[in-house]
Amino acid sequence: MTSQQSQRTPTSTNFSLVLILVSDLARNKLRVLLYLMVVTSAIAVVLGSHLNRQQNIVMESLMQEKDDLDVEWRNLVLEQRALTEHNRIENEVEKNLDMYRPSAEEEVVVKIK
Amino acid sequence: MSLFNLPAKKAKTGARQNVTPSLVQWRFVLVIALVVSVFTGLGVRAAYIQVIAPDNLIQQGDSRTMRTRNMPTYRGIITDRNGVELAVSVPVRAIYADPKIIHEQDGLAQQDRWEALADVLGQDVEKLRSKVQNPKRRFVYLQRQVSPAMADYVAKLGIPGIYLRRESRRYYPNGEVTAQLIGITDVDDKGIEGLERLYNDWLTGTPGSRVIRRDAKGRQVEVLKTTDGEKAGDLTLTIDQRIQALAYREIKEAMLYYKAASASAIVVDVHTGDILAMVNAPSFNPNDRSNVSPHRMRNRVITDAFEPGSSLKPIAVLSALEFGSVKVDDIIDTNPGWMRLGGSLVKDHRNLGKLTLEEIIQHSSNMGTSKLALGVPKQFLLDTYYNMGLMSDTGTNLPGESNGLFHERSRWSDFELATLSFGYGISVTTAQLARMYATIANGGVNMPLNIVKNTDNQAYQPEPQRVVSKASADAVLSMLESVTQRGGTATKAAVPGYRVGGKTGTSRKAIAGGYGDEYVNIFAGVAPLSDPQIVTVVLINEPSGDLYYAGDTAAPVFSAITGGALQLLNILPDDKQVTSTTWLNGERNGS
Repeated sequence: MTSQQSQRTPTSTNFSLVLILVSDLARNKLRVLLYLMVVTSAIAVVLGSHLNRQQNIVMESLMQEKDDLDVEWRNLVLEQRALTEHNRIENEVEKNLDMYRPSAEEEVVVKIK
Repeated sequence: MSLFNLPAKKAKTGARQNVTPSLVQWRFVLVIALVVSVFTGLGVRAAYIQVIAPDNLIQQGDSRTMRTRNMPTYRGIITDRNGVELAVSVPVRAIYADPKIIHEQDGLAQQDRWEALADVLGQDVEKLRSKVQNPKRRFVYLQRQVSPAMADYVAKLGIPGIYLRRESRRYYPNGEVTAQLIGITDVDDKGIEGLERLYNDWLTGTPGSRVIRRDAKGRQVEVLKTTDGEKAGDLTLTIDQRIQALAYREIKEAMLYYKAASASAIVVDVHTGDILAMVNAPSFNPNDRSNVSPHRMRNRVITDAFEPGSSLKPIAVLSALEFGSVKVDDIIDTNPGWMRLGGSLVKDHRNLGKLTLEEIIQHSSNMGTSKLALGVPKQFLLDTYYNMGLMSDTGTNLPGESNGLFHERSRWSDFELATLSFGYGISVTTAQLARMYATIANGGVNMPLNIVKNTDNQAYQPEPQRVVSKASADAVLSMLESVTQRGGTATKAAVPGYRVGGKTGTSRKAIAGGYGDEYVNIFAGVAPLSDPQIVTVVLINEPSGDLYYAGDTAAPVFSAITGGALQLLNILPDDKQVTSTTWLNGERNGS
């Protein structure tokens, strides 16, 4: 490049820098392309790892949520089982709802066929 | 290079060569040298850090960003056959102290915080402080199994040197109903009794972990390594919790009402050998076992062997039928109600005269069964006892299971064979008795009892095998019905709406040198007789009230448990007309 400049300088002092740059770039399309690709891939790497981190953060919070839900579920299961304990239900319905276990005469059998 | 030549060129061609500053050579060299040395220094330093001694900085970096997170694992859940949870683990915290850190950071100075800590833990503050007095110790538990809410409070107190550790605690929502069967775990989550102990390995998982990198805010930004833990296995039992609860309630009431030392019951599915309920009283609360005595923890259904008394009589009949020494409608003469066998007396409570086989069972005649037992070769008789599973384990593999007590001997006197026929001289567990009745009810096919449904274990399981012919088994089964009917020994065992059959057993307990005054009351029965589904055995040990005959104590309990179980299992009543259409028609007619 330095040699081209030194050739032109003495013949014409009136030139456009932009024009030179553009024509210069146009002559080395492959290099420009490679340069752009390098820059793009660099940005892609940065972006990718950033997104990856974001996903990891989300995953961690989801796993935490899963653990918390599991713990809550276990406690709810215990509560449910304690409340629906068979003998407790029988006592409750007898006391509060005035229900009783039907005797053999009152029993009605519904056959599904 | 051109840079160096440039001033020289200008000096030659330019007009103002006089004012051109001359290059001071030594300054130029000095500047170059300095610049080069700075960059070289940087390069060398970078190379040193990166290549020669990188470990220190890697370690420094890792210690700021790398963390190992443990993924919690909980002991497997135990459910009944319908998926009702019987044992669940929930996370709790352990509070521990590091006395060295406490002393280094002067943690004991904050008296008011220690008082708050002692307050929330319900401990004496001085006792708590004395635990951490020795500065040489590095670890001391202050309290274990603390609820997460309480643990949060302790964490917020912020006493230096006091930390929390995750652990889990086992809860049994059904409490004492399933206590002995499921067993318990110790404070370190290890099964020490019952099924918890038997399936400890299966129920225990290994925790997984993952190595992660965190950012400045503590968020996980990269997963470096994950180690998968082994997931804890869940256990599905053959128990039906509804029947279990019902049976426990009845057993507990019976124990209190008849002032018995203990009581147990077992309900078995005839066709599969599944144990639907297995209950014992007195029981204990597995969620709070601060004052549990060992006798309450024993699963008496399988550990305690009793002389079953008359409840074994069907075997003598079965054995005689199977051998062919009698026919179903033969008459046995039990006159005069007693007989002498080698100097010992076998007698009925009164002279029952001539009896059919059915009446022998109905009236529980010792004479009748003795005659039947002596009518078959002794080896055949003993083989029948053996084949019915009375001298072997039942197949549950439960820890502590007893095989009963039976003295193998080469010579049997007639009297010993006679006593065997009415259930003395042999001790069996309640579970073994249930298996025997299940075999009769199942048409003579002996099923091993099982308690676990989804078992992956390859432990030895006895195969189901036919031990007596279907005709003999069915004949004995129909004879059992007479016991619960008018004139039988256990009319209280009848279940309204269903045909049930069974046999009482009232036996005296053996003490040193003979038989004492304490009784064991047993009722073993099958329902419904037209298509046997369940076998229930009730055992009431040492009733000390006014009632001590099995027909008065165990039989009503049997009736209550069996009746409830049949309803819960939606088994069609076979002793009455049941159709939905008659009811619907009746409704329409306004009756």
